[in-house]
Amino acid sequence: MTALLLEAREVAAAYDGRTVFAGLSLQLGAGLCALQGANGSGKSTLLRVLAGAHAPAAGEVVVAGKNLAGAPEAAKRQLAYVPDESPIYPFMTGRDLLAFVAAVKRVPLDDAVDSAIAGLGLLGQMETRFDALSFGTQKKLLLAAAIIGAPRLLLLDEPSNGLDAAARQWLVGALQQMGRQAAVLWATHDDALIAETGAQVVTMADLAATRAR
Amino acid sequence: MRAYLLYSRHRLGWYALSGRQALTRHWQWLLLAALIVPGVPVLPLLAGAAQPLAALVTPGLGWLERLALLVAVEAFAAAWALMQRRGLAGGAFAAYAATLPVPKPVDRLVDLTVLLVADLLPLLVFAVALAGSKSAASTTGIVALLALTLALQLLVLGAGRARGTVRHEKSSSRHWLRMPPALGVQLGIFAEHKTAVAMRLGAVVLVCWGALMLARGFRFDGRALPTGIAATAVIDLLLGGLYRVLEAGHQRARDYLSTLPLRPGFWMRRDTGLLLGIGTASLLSLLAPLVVGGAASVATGLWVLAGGLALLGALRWAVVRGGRFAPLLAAALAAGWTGAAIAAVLR
Repeated sequence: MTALLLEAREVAAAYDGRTVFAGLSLQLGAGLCALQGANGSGKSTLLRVLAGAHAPAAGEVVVAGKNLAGAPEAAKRQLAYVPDESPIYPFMTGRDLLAFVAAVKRVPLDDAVDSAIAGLGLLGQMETRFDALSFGTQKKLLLAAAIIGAPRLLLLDEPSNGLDAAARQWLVGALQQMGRQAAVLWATHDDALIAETGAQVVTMADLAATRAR
Repeated sequence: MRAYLLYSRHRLGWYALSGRQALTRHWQWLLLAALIVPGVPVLPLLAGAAQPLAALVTPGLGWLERLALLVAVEAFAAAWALMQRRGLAGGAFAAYAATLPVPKPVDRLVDLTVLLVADLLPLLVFAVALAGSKSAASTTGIVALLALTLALQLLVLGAGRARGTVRHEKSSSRHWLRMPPALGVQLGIFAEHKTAVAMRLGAVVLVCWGALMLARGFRFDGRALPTGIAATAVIDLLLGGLYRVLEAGHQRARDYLSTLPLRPGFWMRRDTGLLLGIGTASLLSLLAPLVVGGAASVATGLWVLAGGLALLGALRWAVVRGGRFAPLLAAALAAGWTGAAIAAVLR
């Protein structure tokens, strides 16, 4: 039986008192899972809640056996999150970002990260400030940062947005490789990426239906 | 330790950046303040600001006065922190960092480090109070007050973060869109910059009030109308800054808006119209009392009102088209108008 790497129970989220969704449940083991839903259905918010960037209004999230609310550090050591839009300070460089994530996770920048930097074509961009990088390059750096520490859960918001063909090809391979050890959940409207990776598809409506059953 | 050093370095970098942006935006007001008050006596000012702290730990103070003073000091400290919350909260990066296993003590220590840097001025006041302390008891009292103040500031910033209003900086301007489309968009832009807009409108009210107090002090004699004219120019300058807020708001949607069938100059006409509306209300509240007080005839009052509105309309050109010289152009325009208007009414 596959070990559970993500378990979300009856999760609800709200912004400024406005409920985005409520009563969503999800269980994931190692493998690839694409999250789909209409614009505004709460996919990005769900990923933020699962990643600990936004506190849930109700429910609980368990990452690789660690409760995100009860043991946030232990849980976050097991996960990586890639937002759709870059949240990185304009004055930081790619090198700064990777050094920061590695320091916080208390792991070295290993060959896997070097390989990602090369595979994503980032070698000449590592010392450039974020505000001088294109959207796609910022996304690549966030993807490279997500590999640090070999997380057991990857939460990716529109990971293929802005990527060139070579980087997209790298992403397909990386997703398939990571999916062998980790649970990879990504929000996407990119049906081709789902087909290329062979990921299972779950919709926001499915997650709400989990509760109704 | 490495995580703390890196995280606090990036957070302090963000604090410096957002602080620099705020200073850049408001440099003209700082310059004006420095010109008005040359050779500011810094040490006496700090000593004066330290007096309430010293008074709080003085044995003779009644409990009611002590409570009132404590509330005032803490309210100021909370307001000081809240004014800088954008820089203190760490921006979107802090939300990203929240998905990383940053130990809670490190997170709190980074918050405190950035807060201490942001509190440089209040800390100087505390240091002056400590230096003037005459007994061990009052020294302990001031240190305890400092600890309480820092704890309250962290609490205030943390409450904002828990509500998701600080770190995520979500816009809640959606309800403005229910108004007539153009006005809804304009008010939505104002809502996104509510602090800057409120400060400008608050300053307009203060200038109005100050000018009327002066006019009353002059018993509405021959000095009152020139005072009113100068105040009109200052009000126009304050409101003129809102053109930049509106223009920046439109700029973000420029590409998309250019795909819509809008007539050329659509936003120019509407932004000018909105500010002339606000300007009319502001200038009437200044000029009407001057007319009632006898400082100007109705005709003169209307002439100054029309001239003030013309200046406000012209300021759009200086503010929007002036680039880096916008403040200079706006100030030159307002100064020229003031001189011409005073000369005209005194003739």
